[in-house]
Amino acid sequence: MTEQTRRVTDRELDRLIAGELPADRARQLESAATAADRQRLAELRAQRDQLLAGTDLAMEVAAIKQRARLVPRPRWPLIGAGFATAAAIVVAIVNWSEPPAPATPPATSHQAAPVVAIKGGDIALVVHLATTDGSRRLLDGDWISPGDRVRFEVHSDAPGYVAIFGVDGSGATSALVPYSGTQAISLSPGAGPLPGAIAFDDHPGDELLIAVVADTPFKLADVQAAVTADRPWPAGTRHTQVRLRKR
Amino acid sequence: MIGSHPTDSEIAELYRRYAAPLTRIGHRLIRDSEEVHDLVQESFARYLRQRTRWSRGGSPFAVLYRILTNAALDRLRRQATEQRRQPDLVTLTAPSGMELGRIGQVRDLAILTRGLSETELAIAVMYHVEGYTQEEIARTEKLSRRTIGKALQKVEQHVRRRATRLGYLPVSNKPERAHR
Repeated sequence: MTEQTRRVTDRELDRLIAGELPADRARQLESAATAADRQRLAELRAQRDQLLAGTDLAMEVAAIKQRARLVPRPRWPLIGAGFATAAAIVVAIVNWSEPPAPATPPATSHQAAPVVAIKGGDIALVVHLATTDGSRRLLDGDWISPGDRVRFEVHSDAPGYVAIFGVDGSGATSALVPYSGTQAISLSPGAGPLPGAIAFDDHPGDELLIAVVADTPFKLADVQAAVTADRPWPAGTRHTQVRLRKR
Repeated sequence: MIGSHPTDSEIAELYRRYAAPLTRIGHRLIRDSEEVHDLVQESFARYLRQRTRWSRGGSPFAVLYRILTNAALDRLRRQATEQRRQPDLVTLTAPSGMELGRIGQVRDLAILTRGLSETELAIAVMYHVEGYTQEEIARTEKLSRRTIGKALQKVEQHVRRRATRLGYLPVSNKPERAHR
């Protein structure tokens, strides 16, 4: 007669499947397991296989590293309270009525550069660079140096939700806005710069900044694949980007 | 074993081993699949962030389980606070023999267990949500049955105090046992 009683808990079966049970305990379980235990073991293995079959493991690892702050190096350390004041000054003096000007070469990078690179139609990402005498807007293709400090502003024609990602020269991706958290933050037209400010480190290569906007709340992980793995963007999202070159 | 500088393949291996049981346990606490996925990811991230704390040779699953259950209960508490909802009535059953009382609903457990230690919370979830016996918890946690009993007793006292303070009512004497 088949014994239906369970003698081994799911917890131990999980550990058995994970291969973390000591060998003697695993042997004990083998001998003590009832038919019901063996059936449950098979179920748990099938669940695991099903989960893994439907998982993009590389993407999960990338997301976990991002959340664990295990990206190769802290490229964009948050600026502390000292910079909060400076960033506020940056915001205060930005002149939105400046006329368009040609792209700014490195030698003149501290001049005002009012052209805003816009892709994606109805949203625009504006990058404000803190300068000694105030601030200026950074354009797509502009040069930056390690230590440069920036804040972001996203223009949209309607309220929604926004997140900003940074991709460095090695391809490592970081969520910049919000810097910590899992959800996009709310976005109001005309609300000005987004909370927080960042500074560039000395990691070489271009810095790609991507703003993602949607009408409804979204999780950063949901758009991570599009950012990191060049996957299709989730329905309902709009995005725009600015690429900066580092000296 | 995860080193001080975990590689992608080490993290992938960790995920392959533990994502499935963590997801299953997450679903016992939180209904929304996307939120469970997020919770599992966050649990791995916290594990890696705190990796220097975990002693070599210990069970990663035990640590991940603790992280996940605490994070899940934190979320449930936050949701309850954000929604400003009146908590559902809790099922506090009368003690029967050596078994302590049961708590019927996970969100109630989250609200009523605020202030307990991580270990006590993990034990409470194993007992009240996952339905393990004290003996089973003692075996898997490598603690004595007496320790588990004391922890559950403390949980129950804490819960009863908070239930009284928050206006919960004991509405049922019918034991409610979770299924493994």
